[in-house]
Amino acid sequence: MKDITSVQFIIPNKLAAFIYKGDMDINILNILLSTWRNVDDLFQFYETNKRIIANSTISSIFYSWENFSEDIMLDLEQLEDFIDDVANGKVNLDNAFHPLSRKEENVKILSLRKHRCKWLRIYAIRIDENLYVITGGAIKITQKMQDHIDTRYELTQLDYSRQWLKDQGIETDESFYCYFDL
Amino acid sequence: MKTNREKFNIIATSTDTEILNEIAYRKANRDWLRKSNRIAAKVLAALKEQNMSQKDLADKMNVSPQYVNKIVKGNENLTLATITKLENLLHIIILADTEKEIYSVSEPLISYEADVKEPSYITESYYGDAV
Repeated sequence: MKDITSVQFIIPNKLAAFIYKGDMDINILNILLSTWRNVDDLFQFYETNKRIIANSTISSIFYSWENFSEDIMLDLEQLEDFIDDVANGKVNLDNAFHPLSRKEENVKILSLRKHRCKWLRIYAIRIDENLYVITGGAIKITQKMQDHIDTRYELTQLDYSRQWLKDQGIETDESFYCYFDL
Repeated sequence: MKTNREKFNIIATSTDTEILNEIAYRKANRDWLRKSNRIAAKVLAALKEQNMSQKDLADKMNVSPQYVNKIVKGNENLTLATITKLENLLHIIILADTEKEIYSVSEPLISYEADVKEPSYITESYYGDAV
């Protein structure tokens, strides 16, 4: 888990991202996009996780490296289009970030959310209507977040970030969540 | 009393202008960036298969390891000379393979094959006459 140093807007009054200690003042969305755009980094990820990816429930076909890298490239393009649309006022973030918890029926303050592509996930906390702060993201290759070290880490970071916001005086209306990110 | 939005706007002290600029650039250059991405994927797979390091490839290409690292990141606008060098040194075909349509990539091969209809001269008149 990384300590928060500051918060930076990506799109003023709509979308922000945390800057974590040790990240040289670069916000987490910028870091995620740079990492996912790097095919060399992606190859290392695939090699480490290829057994899980090959047996992924996302599709019944065998996921070769070529399939996987192509999918991530298309996911990234989708994500870039999404951010561009948010900047141009074409998307309401409340319709794009979905609750992480199946148990969350009503809109909550500081709700933990995700924006999903096929493999890529952006995790965020809802501050207010159409106002979100990104805590992190991951290539989600298992059904549940708890089943992979990367997504487990993101859950911890979400919880820590939420508490940090509360410590800054952002108010919340509840304090307990269960995670079933499918 | 301040609302959560007002409190948050005080906490968020700056704006990142780099992300939107980079996205605009990547959208404007998406066609060749896709090709660069696919070339990088192919080169990385070939290096692993041939048990070669990026430095080995750099030595063979007579370029710096940093340049090879740029190639395998998949964001480099490569020249035809560089692509041809990669093809020859790694014994791979790059140019023909980068032209594939995106939509077919994740489709199971079986469904593609099932949709392919044989030309009528094979299924009807040709075999019909032969049998």
